[in-house]
Amino acid sequence: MGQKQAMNPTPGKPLERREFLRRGGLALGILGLFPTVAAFVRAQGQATSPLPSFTGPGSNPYWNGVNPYVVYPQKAPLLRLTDRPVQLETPRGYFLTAVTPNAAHYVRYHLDEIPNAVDLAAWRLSVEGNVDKPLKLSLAELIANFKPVSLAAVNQCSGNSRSRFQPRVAGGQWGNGAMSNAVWTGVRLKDVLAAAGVKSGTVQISFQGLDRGKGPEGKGSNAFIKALDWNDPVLEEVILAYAMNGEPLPMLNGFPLRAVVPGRFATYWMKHLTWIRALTEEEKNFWQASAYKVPDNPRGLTTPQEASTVKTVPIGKYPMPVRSFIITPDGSSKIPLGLPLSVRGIAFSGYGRVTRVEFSDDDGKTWRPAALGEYLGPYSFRTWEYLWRPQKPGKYVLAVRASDERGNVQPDEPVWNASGYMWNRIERQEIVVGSAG
Amino acid sequence: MSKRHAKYLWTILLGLGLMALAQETQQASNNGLSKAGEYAPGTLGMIAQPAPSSPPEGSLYAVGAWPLYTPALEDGPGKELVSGYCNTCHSTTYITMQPAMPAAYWETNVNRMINTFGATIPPDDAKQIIAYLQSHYTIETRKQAAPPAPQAAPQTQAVTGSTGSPVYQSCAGCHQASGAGIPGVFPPLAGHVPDILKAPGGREWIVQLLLNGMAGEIQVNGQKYNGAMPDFSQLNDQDIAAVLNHISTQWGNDKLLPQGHQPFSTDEIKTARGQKLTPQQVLEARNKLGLK
Repeated sequence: MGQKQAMNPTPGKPLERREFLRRGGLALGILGLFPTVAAFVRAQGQATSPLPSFTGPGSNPYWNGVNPYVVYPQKAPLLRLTDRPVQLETPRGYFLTAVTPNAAHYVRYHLDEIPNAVDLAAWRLSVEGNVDKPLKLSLAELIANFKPVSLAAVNQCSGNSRSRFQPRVAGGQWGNGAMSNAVWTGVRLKDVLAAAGVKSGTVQISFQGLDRGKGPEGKGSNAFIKALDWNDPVLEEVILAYAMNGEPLPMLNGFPLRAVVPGRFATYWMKHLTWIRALTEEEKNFWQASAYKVPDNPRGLTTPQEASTVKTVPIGKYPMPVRSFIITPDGSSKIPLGLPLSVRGIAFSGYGRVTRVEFSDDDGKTWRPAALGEYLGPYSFRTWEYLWRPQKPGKYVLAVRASDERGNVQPDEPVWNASGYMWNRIERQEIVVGSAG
Repeated sequence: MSKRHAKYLWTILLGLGLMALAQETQQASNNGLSKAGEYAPGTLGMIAQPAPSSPPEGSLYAVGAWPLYTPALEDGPGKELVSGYCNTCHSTTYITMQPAMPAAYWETNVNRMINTFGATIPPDDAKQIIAYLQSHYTIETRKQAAPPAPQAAPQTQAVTGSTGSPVYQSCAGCHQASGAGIPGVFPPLAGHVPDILKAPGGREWIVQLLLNGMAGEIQVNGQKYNGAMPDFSQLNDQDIAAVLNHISTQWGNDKLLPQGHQPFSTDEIKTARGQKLTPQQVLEARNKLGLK
C-alpha cells in the first residue's frame, strides 16, 4: 500500500524476526503465513458500511479512531483527524513490524503554517541564548562536523488512545495509532551544545521549529516551543535527527531536522527544529507552562472530581508507560478450530527494555508468556508472538500485557486525566473460533 | 519413449486434468460453497493514487499544498460565524473530530479560544457560535453523518471556485467564496476592493493590510465591522501578489478598477515588507484613505 517501504537502516542486521523462527515460529513459515512484506494494511471489517462519523459519550471501541483515509504528500493513506493543522493516525496494520515505514509514520501538528518548502541554502540551526559561542549550522555542517549516531525510538503522542477515556475528553480523538517507531540518525544534542558552550546559570534548553500559527504573538496559537530542564538526564540521549529509517524526514514528520527525545512523549520531539536556546529563566509559553501537564504520578491518574484542583507537572517528568498491542488477528476473520493461529503485535516502554509480554485468551484471567522478537534497543517497539491453539469453538477475548526492565507491569485499570494523556491499559481483541468440520 | 511421444502423453494428461477440474468446479456448489459471485456498489469511496512529483532544483526541498479534507458543518444559524472565525487558525475538523460532548464543553472551549489563544471574537458573535455548536455537536444534539457519496467533489473546488487562486482558500473562510463577506461580521471584497484601489494610497495600503493584519472598528458602505484580520506575511511575495490580483478581478471587481490599474507585482510586495506596521497602525492608515 505504501509507495515507500522502510529501508533496512542497518545492513547486515535484519530487522525481521529471526528470534521467532528460532523459538518455534517456524510453523508459520510452513503455513505460509509468514509476512514477506515490511508492512501491509488489513481492513478491519467488511466493505459494505463505514464506521460511524464520531463516537461518544461512550469510549471509542475501535482500535484506530473512526476517521477516514486520506492522502498527503510523501504519505501512504492515513486516517485524518484534522486537516489544518494536520493530524493523521497510522492504521493498525502498519504495526506488524518493529519499524514503522516513514510513509505511515503518524502526523501531529499544533499550528497551521506547516512548511511546504525549505531552502537548505538559507536554513540554519541556531544555537543561541546563554552560550559562549552562538552557532548557525547548515544541514551540511551538521552532517559533516558532528559524529552521526543512530537509535531506534518510539515517537508517541501524549494523547495516543485519548478516544478510550471515560468520561470522554476533547482533543485529538486518537485510537492507538498516534505512535510510530523509526531508526533515527543524526547528531547528539550534547555534542552541539558542547560546541556552543552552555554557560552556567542555564536552567532549561528550549526547542522551536519552523511551523507557526496565525494567532497573536505571545499566545499558544502563534508559536509552539517546548523546553527540557538542563538537569534532566534525557538531554544526554537527545538526538537531532536528519534521517529516519535511512531516508530524509518526510516534510510532515519534521524535515530537515527534528529532536528525538528517547522514552519521552512526542511533544518534546520538535519538528523542523531550527532554534535551540539555553535559557536562564524557565520557558513560560502556553505549550510549556499550561498544556501537556499531567497529575504528578507515573500514569497521570486523577478523577473528574479532582481534576481542577490536582497538582500537575509537565508530562516530560515521566517516561512513557509500558504498553503492548495485538495487531493480528484483528477480528476481520473467523478462525477455524485446529489452526494454530499466530497472534502478533508490538510492545514498548519509555522506561527501557521490554522484558516480558504475556498473552491471555480468557480476558486477562490467566496469562502465558509470548515469544519476544529481536531487541532493537531500549526505546524501540519490540515485536511479540504467541502461537495460539484454541481448544473449542466460541468467542474469545484475547489480551496482551507487557513488562519492562524496571519492573513496570502494564495494568488493567483505565487512565483518566483532563487532557487525555498517558493511556496504557491492557489491550483486548475479541475473536471468534468456529468449528472446522 | 521418444520426446514426441512424451509430449503427447503430457498433453493428454493435461487435458484429463482440466476435465477433472471442470467437474470439480461444477460440484463445488454442493461441496461447502455457500455463496459466490455477489457484488454490490462500493459505498466507502476510493482514493486516487497521487502522481509522482519532480523535486525542485538546487537547495530547495518542497512538497505541494497540504490537501484539505473538511466535512461540511451542520446547517443552522451561526454556521457562517463558526466557519469564519474558527477557520482563522484551524479548519472545522477541530469541531467535527470531537466526540459527542456535554453542552458546557463548547462554552468553555470557545472562551478558551478567545482568552487563551487570543481569537478576536466580539461577545455577541461568541454567543452565537456557542449556541450553534450546542445545537449540533453535543451528546443530545449530534447526528451521525451520512455515508460518503461514492464520487464526492473535492472540497477545495467549492472553496476556491473554478477560477480560484489556491491562496484565496485562506480568505474564503471569512470573506466567503462569493467575496460577499458576512454583513456586520466579515467585510465584503466584492465591490469594496476597487474602492480601496481607487483611493489615493489605497493600493499601498491593501498590501500592508495583508502583510500586517488589522484590528479595530471599520465601516464598509455604512456597515460597521469590529473584528480583526490576521496578517498573512507567512505567504511568499508571489502568493500575496496572486491573491491580490485574484480579489481585484473576481466578482465583477475587474469592471470597477481605477483607470490604468496594473496587476500587483512580486517586487511591489517585496518592497512593502520593509515597512513593519502594527495592526493598529494599519487601522489608522485605513482611516486616512477616506473610504465610506
